[in-house]
Amino acid sequence: MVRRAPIVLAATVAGVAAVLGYHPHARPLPSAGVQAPAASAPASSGAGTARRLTGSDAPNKYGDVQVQVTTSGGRITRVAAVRLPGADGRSQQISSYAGPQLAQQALAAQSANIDGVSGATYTSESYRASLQSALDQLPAPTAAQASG
Amino acid sequence: MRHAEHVMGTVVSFDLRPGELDARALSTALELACAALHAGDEQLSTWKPGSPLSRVRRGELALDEAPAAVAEVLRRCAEARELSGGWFDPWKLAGGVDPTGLAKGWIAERALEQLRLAGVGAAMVNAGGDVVAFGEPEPGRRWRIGVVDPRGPGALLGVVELDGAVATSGTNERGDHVLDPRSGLPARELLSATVTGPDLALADALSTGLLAAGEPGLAPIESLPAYEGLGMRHDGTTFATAGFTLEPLRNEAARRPPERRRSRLRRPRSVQREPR
Repeated sequence: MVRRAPIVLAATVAGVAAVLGYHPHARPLPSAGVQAPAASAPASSGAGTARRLTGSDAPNKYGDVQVQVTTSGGRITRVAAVRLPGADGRSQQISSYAGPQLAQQALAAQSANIDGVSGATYTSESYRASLQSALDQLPAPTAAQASG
Repeated sequence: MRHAEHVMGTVVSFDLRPGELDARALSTALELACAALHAGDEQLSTWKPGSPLSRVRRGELALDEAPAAVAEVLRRCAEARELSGGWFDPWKLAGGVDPTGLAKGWIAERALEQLRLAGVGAAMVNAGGDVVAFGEPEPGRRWRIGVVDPRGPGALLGVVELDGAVATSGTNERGDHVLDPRSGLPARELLSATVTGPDLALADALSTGLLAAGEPGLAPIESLPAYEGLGMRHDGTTFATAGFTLEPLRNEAARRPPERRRSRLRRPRSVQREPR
């Protein structure tokens, strides 16, 4: 179970990443890159492993964007922007709803069986870049088996 | 194979299905496509002061001495101005002609063309939300693209099945950045405008024009045989050309195979969106 959980997680992430047009890199990562080891999960309720991954800053011309992904039991349960542009009034206005909107998009996309999204602009691209870097912190299936 | 390339001040993502190509040939095709993106950006960027386009805009470089891409994009802009009924008009913008509303799509088309010429089986290029594709991602199904609901915190308006391109322009994130070429004032009637059609450069320009025009911008799109448009007003109501096919997004439907739940939803104009 401890060995299998990361595989399920990776598969789900691949599904979301497909929608967003990115892929988790299939490369082994230093253990420091993965924040929540699978072994720390309470395994009783079937809710599975909860883990939280934070992407790197992705700058755009309006400011920096940073995204955090929370997964539980192999599904992405929450996508939150932990940093959005807010240096001036307009940026704050944009960020106040861009964050929740993009989080909803990522979650909706998870179950929508689509290949991509039309309508994104600068901030959301940075958001995606940061989301990708959060997803990159997940171990690839083979690496997960080796380390888990 | 997927790939994300940082270029044109945004992220351009690729989704490739190899077809007959082996891994090495696919990788080469992707390199050529990315090179086309960067070449286009170098030539047509209005953000880079030294780009040939920027120099043409400042009158430092004659058009016939600039790379052919500059003249070609301006020619396409003039064509799009006609086809949009004048609602897309990059000559009416401050700072000289600004083809950005068409150039991103045009550059993405050049990248996709590299993949087609290399023999890639199917491919999708998503240039910051403007998407163009060819082929089938899986046998018997077309590329499916979600159209963003511009009202936060909603998710997607629905799904279009791609036979070419889809472009969306909006005032939602970047502020009032599209000007009405007739009044010279920021366009405020619509939250977003989406156009589908065979060519991303024209779809990109038409979506910009529709956003600028509001509802009057629909007629020129309706008159183009292969293009369809959808606009959303600030009150959340939508209007669209008769042939715009938007598959509604329903949670329980999402898990069924796509070929079973293909529906053709003909939207009469000025119809209120169904509540979800």
